[in-house]
Amino acid sequence: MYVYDEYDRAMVLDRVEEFRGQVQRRLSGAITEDEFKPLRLMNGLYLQLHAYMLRVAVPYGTLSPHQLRVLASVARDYDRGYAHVSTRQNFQFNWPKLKDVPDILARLAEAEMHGIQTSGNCIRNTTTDPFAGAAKDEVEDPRVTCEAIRQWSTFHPEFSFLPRKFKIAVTATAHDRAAIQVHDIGLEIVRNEAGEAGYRVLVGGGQGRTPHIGHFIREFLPKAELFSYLEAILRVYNLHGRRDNLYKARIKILVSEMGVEAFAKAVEEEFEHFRTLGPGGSVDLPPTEWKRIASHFEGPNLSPRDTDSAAFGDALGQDKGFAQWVRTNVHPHRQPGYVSVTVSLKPQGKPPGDITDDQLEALADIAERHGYGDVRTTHEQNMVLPHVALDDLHTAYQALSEAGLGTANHGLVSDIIACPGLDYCNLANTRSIPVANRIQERFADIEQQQAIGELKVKISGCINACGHHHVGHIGILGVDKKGEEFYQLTLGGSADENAAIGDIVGRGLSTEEVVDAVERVVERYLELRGSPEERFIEAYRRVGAEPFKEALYADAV
Amino acid sequence: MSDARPDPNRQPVKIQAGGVKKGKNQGLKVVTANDLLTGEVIYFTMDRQWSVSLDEAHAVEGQDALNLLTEAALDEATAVGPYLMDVEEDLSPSGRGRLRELIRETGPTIHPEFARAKGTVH
Ligand code: SF4
Repeated sequence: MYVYDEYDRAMVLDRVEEFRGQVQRRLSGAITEDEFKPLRLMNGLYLQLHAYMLRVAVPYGTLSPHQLRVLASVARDYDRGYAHVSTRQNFQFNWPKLKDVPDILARLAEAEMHGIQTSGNCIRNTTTDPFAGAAKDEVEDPRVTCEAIRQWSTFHPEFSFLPRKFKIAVTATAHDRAAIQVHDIGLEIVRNEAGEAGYRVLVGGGQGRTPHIGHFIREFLPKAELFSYLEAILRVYNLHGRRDNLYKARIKILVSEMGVEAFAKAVEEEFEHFRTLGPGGSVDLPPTEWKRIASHFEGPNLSPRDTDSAAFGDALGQDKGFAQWVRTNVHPHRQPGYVSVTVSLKPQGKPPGDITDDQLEALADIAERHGYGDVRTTHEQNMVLPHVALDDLHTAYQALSEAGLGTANHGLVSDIIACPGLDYCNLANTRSIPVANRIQERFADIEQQQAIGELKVKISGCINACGHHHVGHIGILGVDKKGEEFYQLTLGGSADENAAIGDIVGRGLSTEEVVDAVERVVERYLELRGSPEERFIEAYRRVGAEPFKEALYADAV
Repeated sequence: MSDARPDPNRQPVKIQAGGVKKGKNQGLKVVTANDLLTGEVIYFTMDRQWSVSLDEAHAVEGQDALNLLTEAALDEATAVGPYLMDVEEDLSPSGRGRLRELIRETGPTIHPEFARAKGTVH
């Protein structure tokens, strides 16, 4: 993985000391809260309902075992014994005390972590496929691009005060696991006819109160020109994006107000301007720099192994729990004899995405012993061990299970994305996590879940859509009706290469009704699917919303 | 003009209702905020201190509520983001933000182990 150079290190350490001074001045009364708030937000420190919340950037979701242990130590020494994986592949701590935050940041900085650009109207953490560098059909490791973007966007003077926050995602496989189509910019790494790697560029996707699927504005951008093009997009946005209305400030609104063609044309003009500057004048990276960054992502040296692992075969036959887990949580690897593993952070009854200090340490040990020291977070609030040898898989599973990390539910109805909602969040209308837990309880039987098959349930506690409900196969949005919690269901959303915004299917449902409603939707799907192989989303696309509406509101007058 | 003062009951005021929003200044209010050092939920008391216990909050109405909020806002050394919240006569949270304030008062509903201890005066 990427290792900080002297500039990265100096910048992060300077920032910690700068923030230490800012906290001291706030505590001494030298600056007011109005002056302090933007400074703390620039370091990822929010104030939520019960406490401060510190968001720690995890660039493109890649972590080392050492970093996991440092996160565990922060959870233990400064928080309440757990951390939380966000839908931007970052970590969040829910209970830090203001006076401790400079020390927390200093400890994180020692392990090459920080909270910079995890808040504010700047370019946020670039997200990607959690199987990057391991995925079977990948054009190249997308993290090289993500890291280059990280370096370009960190403290970028021109793009530190954009009209609104800005999110970029990169995928390098045809099957999109990074939800690029609902990002401000989505990059799909593809090859042209000559076999060269480059980018298919999408703009204007997003969720929130006005969800949009983005538009591809360039079918092939040579890799060498990435930053000229990104800079061109950001410039057009920075110049023309609305600053008068918070709700209309995202690039998706600009693209839709200008029209895709006009927007693309404006970008191309700006891009041409950069091109005329030529190499050395433009912002593009020289090949040597691309090479230097890429050298950090060569990945572990995985010696070839037999695809027929006797240990694996035996364990499958003898351990039913293992066989269930393999069915859902294990994914093909580019190297024969290896797999990638999803470590579920969705055991029944726990807040989705939470992981305790002990579990972080256990995962660090397992990653060292069986995972070549590589760990990822996912935007679906799980974690991943991208490289595990088939021969070691059962042992890894047993260790994960012992730590409470072996739930066999990846992609199933209980693998729910849920935002923090009204249990933590200042902006929430309703709670999200208790609804997720009640759905998990209703579908507690893992065999039943596996029989239902892939089903993505996503819950947001308000229209800001941090829980990605718009792109859930079943989306649940919390709404406030005269002070009571209600939930609006959407169906048919999807965040993959066939991205779609879910359809609203009727009136809001009370807290008492919402879990029954989800169950009725699932039952109707089971009745009408053509075969067990037809996934929920496929069945929904085939039959449309009507049969589900009937099932949902059958009793309604 | 001496009678130009806005009617306190009509004046928009920082008040919670599912996120801190502007609301009408009607009914009984207490001032709540978060503690600067810990972020913990606190309430403004009759003797102009802050308490983690809603039971100790000072409840007032109309112009008195606005005055109390102004006073509370001066104490930047203790409190962050003070606002008026609706309460019943018995000081239990009421109005549109009732659930939010109940959760603020008692802690996240998903972590009973983090239920709040009451009564410490800051
Ligand atoms: S969706 Fe709303 S309630 Fe949920 S975390 Fe985002 S802002 Fe908070």
